Amino acid sequence: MKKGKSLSFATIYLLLTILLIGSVLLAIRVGAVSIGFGDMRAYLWDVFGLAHKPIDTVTRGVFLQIRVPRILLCAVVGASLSVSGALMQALFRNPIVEPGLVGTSSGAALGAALVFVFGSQFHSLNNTTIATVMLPVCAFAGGLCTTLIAYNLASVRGKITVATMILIGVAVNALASGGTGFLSYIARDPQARSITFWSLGTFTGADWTSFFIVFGSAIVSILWALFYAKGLNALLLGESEAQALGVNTDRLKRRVIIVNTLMVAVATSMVGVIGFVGLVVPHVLRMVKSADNRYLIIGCSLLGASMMILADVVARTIIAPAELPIGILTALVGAPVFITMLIRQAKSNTGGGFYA
Amino acid sequence: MLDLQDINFTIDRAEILSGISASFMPGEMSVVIGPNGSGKSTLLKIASGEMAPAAGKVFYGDTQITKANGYEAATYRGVLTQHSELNFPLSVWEVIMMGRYPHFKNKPTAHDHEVVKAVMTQFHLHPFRERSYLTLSGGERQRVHFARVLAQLWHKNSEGFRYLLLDEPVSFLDLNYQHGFLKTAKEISRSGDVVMAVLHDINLAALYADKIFVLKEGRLIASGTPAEIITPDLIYDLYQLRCQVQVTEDGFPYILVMGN
Repeated sequence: MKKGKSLSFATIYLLLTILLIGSVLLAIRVGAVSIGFGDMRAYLWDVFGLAHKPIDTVTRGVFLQIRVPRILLCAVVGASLSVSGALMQALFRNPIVEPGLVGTSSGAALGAALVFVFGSQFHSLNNTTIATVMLPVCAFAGGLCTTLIAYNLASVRGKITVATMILIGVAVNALASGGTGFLSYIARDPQARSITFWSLGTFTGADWTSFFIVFGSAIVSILWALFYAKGLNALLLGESEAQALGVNTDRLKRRVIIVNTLMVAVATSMVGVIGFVGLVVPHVLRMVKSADNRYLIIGCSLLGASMMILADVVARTIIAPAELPIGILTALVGAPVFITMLIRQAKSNTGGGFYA
Repeated sequence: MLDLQDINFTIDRAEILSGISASFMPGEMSVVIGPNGSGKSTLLKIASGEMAPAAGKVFYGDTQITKANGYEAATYRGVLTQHSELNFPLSVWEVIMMGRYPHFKNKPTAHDHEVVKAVMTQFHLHPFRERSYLTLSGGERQRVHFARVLAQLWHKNSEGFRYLLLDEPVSFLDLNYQHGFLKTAKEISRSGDVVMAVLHDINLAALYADKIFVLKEGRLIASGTPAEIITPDLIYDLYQLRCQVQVTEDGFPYILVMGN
């Protein structure tokens, strides 16, 4: 790890970009229908109307309507969840926080589940409106509620205690998942998704619409978050210190919570709750180079996208032809990391951190 | 000068500060002392603009500081607290560069880099440049924060002053660091700036202060030079301890506690 610290930020971004491109190509190739690089090129030419030889329309359909949107959706969801992890860790001044832990994801899932179960009751709304407008909006409202509850209860006069934060996260999560569970239990509509979807997430429903929705929110919120990188760095010192450095901490916290909830909620409403991504990705990036938030936001966008794509490749190939819910994979990797970090944090209660 | 005018502050109807008026002059090291809960830290937070008083005004020269414009003062007003809760592996250089945050928008300029380099030299921090903050000892960490605050205050404001506020900056430091820090703070006051420090240790206050302000139960009960202020009666009044006050060869008073 010492070696990585000498790499410049630009080099790291370059390596992460190469990793991302590599992950995309690998993910397109691998699957129930194997697609070679020659075929990929041919389909792309075909899209632009430049094909010079006849192509297999079935494989072309798999490529264009199933695999590519799915991989792109993985990328934007991974980026959203990882950047959100970095933002929440700065906000809570603690590297073990992530949207799944404090309840942002499960709140968003509850909001989305409400739309799935009751959305069809509103006859004035057609299905497209429900899917593209109501779903993200209600997920946002749900995620915002749980995040605000968790943040306000966990911070007492500008200080956040880890134990309180985790316990409140457990309570908020239990409440929201209870609500989601109830909704999937009473749901008759086949569209109302299963409890597995909400608690473990899946990319099986990926299509171009869901990609564009999450892509929009991801681009907007990641660029927006970059404006707050400096303020969030100062906030790592503590609220008083950040204010002394000229940061309007109340305003910063409000805005970061909103931008963070936006990216988590929209992603969650499309693919369900996928835990631990927001924990592991920023953690890796901090070990590689730095805890600077500008670097983390850019790095998390790239590395988070790659990690989610690769996790999805494993999820859809490991027990093929069946598919593993992706949340199982991320939990298998993420939970041990979380436990290790928690133990190290508990041991270094004198204020040293576990990166020491 | 830093001027506090008739400051009142209450939390849930409990009076934390009442009717405090005091002027902290440039060129002088001003030290606030008082027992726990006397309102010292609250007074400092109001003086820095972090908290708004329930009544009263804070002036930096001719500029009134409120919670709304307190952020703008960050280019010439710095605050050093007793310890920061920084829990992330930022390098020493990155932490000190935070002191320049009020001065640049997105990327640090060449000038910001120069300032950081200069304060690192002053605090002998160059060997630590790339070290993670979390690997430092308590004294080293506090040194990094002091360097950060000085990087923040590298320039005087348009009226020609800087304002350095220290909230029990040496409580967790060893003897060597305690004196080193207060000496640096005093040198800063000597260059014509306003330095206001909250200290617990009466003897340190007596040694470094030009003027001492005494808080008791949220009221300013006395102010003056150490020789005027440090008396057995005052110490008994504040801490219910009998003590002797003696004078060093250099003329600084110091107290010897006799018990109660």
